Amino acid sequence: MSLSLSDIDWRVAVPDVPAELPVATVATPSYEERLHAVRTLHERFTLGATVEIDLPEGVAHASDRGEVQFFAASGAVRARDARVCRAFPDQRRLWDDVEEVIDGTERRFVLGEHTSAMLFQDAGELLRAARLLPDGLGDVDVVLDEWIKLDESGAELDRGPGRAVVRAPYSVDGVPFIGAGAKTRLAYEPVGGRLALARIFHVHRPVVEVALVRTGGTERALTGLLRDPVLAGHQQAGGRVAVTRIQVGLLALPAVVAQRLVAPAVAVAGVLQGAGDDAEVPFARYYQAVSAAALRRVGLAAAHLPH
Amino acid sequence: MALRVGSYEVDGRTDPHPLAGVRPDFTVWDGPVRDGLLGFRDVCFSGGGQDRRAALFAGYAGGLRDTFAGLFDMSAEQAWAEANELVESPDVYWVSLRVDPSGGRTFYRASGSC
Repeated sequence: MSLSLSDIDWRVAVPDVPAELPVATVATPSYEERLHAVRTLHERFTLGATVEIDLPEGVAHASDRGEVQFFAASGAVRARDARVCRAFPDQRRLWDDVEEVIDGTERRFVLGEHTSAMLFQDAGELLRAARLLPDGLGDVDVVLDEWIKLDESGAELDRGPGRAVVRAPYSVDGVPFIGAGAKTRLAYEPVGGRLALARIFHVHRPVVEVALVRTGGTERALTGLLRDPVLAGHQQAGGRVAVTRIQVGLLALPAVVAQRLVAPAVAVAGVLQGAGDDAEVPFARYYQAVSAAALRRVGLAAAHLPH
Repeated sequence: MALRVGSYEVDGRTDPHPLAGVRPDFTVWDGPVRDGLLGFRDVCFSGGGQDRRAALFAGYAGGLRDTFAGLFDMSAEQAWAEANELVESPDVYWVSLRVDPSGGRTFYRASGSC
């Protein structure tokens, strides 16, 4: 039981998946290799005398001023200034230069160029000092969290911007990393007329080798989506599957998950329609875009083990 | 996915729960927050390592603070954002909902990129 491409209500263009995509072998930085970053962030957040704590995910250095945390599965680091994070009772922030823009049906707040430039400069200097600027850095942007005040019927009464987050994605040979495991984020707050770094999170396993692996083209690469038993079952029961978002890339797993091979995958989001009522049920899944056999042909996916 | 935080604290009040007796029509809002306080703007992923979300959230929201004498002190909303930043991609948006601390039957819905 499976779907065909024409069974799906495509609300975005069907991706044209290349016949070959890269697969990356990645390394996991050790605590010793990240110690410079840990010390740099400890100093930046003036954490003072911290206690070292062994956690299931790795090691943390914490005080009442905040913490810096190392994730052993990925070499990721996160750090937080608890005093800055406690400076606001809720998500409302007063920025000097923020404008509200309407992008299609979406309304969002955008930070002005001057403040954005200051954040980019501070973020770049800190990442450079902490040696957290690896190869493959993509286009850096800054986004604002937002808040909406609502009455009990859900009607909007007011809205505004929250904290600012500088975001950096990563790619290899022009193919983006997707998923939770390849990103750098720095959150800033406007505290007392100045910009204060509230927290930072960096996860990106260094790429040590890249090979090309055959995908078999678009329909083969989407096999996981087309054979998803939940989606196929929904279609067979008279429902309809709509895809609203799809991205092809290399799936980097979360910082708390060990990973050696970063293989091509598709991130799919959509809705299930029909099947009993008018409600639309959202879904979002990652699917492998290459087979284990294709990985074995290029010497990966445990090719050295007996079949 | 939506979670309910049983001892959610607003302005020092934890009992009764600030949403007790209030039945707003959450379904008219643009996300599956429903009758919970923490959720997502539209979707969250599964199948890519997201099964650690609940344990991470529980740790940041109180488990670590209780275990290590007040360290890792953060609100439930901040813990939700921290946990989801770890397990979701940046195109997923966390959402939190809280009652207006100044009183009245109004609410604040906050969201941000993971």
